[in-house]
Amino acid sequence: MTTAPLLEVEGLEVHYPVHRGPLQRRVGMVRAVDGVDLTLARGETLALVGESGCGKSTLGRAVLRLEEPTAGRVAFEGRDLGAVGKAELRDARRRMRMIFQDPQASLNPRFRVEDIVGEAYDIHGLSRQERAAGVRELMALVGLSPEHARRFPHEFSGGQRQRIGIARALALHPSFVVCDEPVSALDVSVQAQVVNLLLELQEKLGLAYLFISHDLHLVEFFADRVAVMYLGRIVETAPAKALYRRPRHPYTRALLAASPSLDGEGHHRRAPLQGELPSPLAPPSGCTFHPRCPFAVDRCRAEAPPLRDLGDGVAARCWRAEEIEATGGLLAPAHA
Amino acid sequence: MSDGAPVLAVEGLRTSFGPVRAVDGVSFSVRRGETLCIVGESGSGKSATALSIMGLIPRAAGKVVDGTVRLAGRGDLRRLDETSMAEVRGRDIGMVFQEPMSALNPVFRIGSQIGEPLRVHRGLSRREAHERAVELLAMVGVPSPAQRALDYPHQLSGGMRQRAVIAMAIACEPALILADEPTTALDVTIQAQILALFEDLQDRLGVAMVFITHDLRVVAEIADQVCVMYAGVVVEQGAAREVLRNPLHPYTQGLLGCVPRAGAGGTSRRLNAIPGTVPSLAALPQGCRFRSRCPHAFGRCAEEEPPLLHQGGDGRASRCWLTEAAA
Repeated sequence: MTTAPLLEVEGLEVHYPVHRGPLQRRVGMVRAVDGVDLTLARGETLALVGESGCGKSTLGRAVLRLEEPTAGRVAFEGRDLGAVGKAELRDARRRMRMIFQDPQASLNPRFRVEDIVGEAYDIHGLSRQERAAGVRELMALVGLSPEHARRFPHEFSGGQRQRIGIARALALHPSFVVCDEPVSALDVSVQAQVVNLLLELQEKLGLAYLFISHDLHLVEFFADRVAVMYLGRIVETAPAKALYRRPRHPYTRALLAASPSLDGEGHHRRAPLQGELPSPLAPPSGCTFHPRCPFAVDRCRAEAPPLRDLGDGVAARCWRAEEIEATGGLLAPAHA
Repeated sequence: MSDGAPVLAVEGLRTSFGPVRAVDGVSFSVRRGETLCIVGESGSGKSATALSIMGLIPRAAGKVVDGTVRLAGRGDLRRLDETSMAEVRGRDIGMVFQEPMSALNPVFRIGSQIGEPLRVHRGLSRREAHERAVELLAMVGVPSPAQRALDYPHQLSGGMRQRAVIAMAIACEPALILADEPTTALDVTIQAQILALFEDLQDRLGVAMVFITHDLRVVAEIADQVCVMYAGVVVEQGAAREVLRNPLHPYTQGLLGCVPRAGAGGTSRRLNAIPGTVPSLAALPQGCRFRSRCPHAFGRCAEEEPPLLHQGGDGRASRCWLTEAAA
């Protein structure tokens, strides 16, 4: 038995050049992912949460090397994916797959389900019989009737199409699946079905998930650990229970306060976060959250805080995490 | 909070798209200062209800076939001609949709778009309208409103665009705001800001609001009254607090069970999903529309469609035979 984590990400960066003007001059860099460390154990679910533009999807794609990282290291099942050859990378990719948000857009409308689900078998050179048997088994596994293997995607409902996407991801017995907003395009009642299916598959197959979502309540229910992203960086990481019970970073607090909930009437009235995400082309100095942070002091404007270990598996990128917590978040905004 | 005669009273509204009855007998009313949420999944008829109220069902696609839509001071909107209806849409009812870009013209400056209804319906001069537009932008919380008024829509963020659309909707001080999923495309912190803005405007202007959403958590945050729609009909309605706390219809109960929250499902760690999918409106089952997905369905549900059965006072009602048994 190995105790090494299934996935290890160190200092991952994805930067995009930005071109403007008639000559398409390079005017700057967007640091979509800016120095991220992650680890994921077998069978574990790590959720990435954050608002649009925080870099969570880019991070998910970079982990799978669907996006070439600018810097950093991704090790999967003990292999450094940046250092291996093409054949080995392809081999690793059998075991790390992805489920997309929009099943409509991620399924080829001209392919039959058996070809969508079976494509991975072709690429990896399995026989016709193996392929047909595999497709039937996968369809049953995700709750689709195997008799419908010759149908086209448009003949299925949204929820069923997402099941097809899941079956495709599972074809080559992966150990790790990146789920990028897998239920946000679905109706509420269908969302619950797909969430249950993902949980069932995880228990049955021992899958590890990197679960990208903007829905904090879903994440609280679904994940073992949570990483909160803001402007390309992880600002807090914690076991799911701890994050919701004791959020340490002011941004996590704000996200939780802003999330509507069934029992908490008028959550949004409790001073929602002011302002909007700053332009990633010109991120603020120091702590990038300081312009929207009610607790910001001079140090926050000058010096970027590291992701500091706060014990019990919790880390937060905030100079004042302990102070804020000691006062239950009631610390008066410090005017410096 | 609410008082007097309803601002909007919809009665027996039916809208067909060819053979499909997208809205099949919807009734509700909303008073001054009150928020009514219409909640449902795709195909429930919630957006078709909104378009029917506004007289915006595309003529080539379908039409309102029955019912009345009474707006205070205007009578039945279905009897108005297109010219009067255009006036109603600009002046009496403010509209906000999910995608702010669909309500904004990309080639006109924000300020001139907000000022347009004031020039058309209130006869303000270009200059007066522009000054009022800047005031309205300030009122909906847009920073540096004088500069933003000169911006084009693409220069604003999604949240700011939705604020601009809201400014346009309230420009002529409407009696009613009709908002169709106005926060669905926004991030959660921006959604919280917009919901707070709606409540603030409602307190200040006393406007009535019909708010369409798929999210029961948003309903819990803002609704006074709620209509739960399923496959073209209202299956449950009443005071939001009551409906969420003590849902009568199995569909409402099911929807609430689908909402993820910590510890849902106990040790089994599963959500209480509703099995199956929403039936196609073109092929509705006989009897109750929810019966094929309902854990409590019995013989009568297959034979006879239940009417909205009232329980107690306060307009609480549920379209389920079991409601009758419980009453």
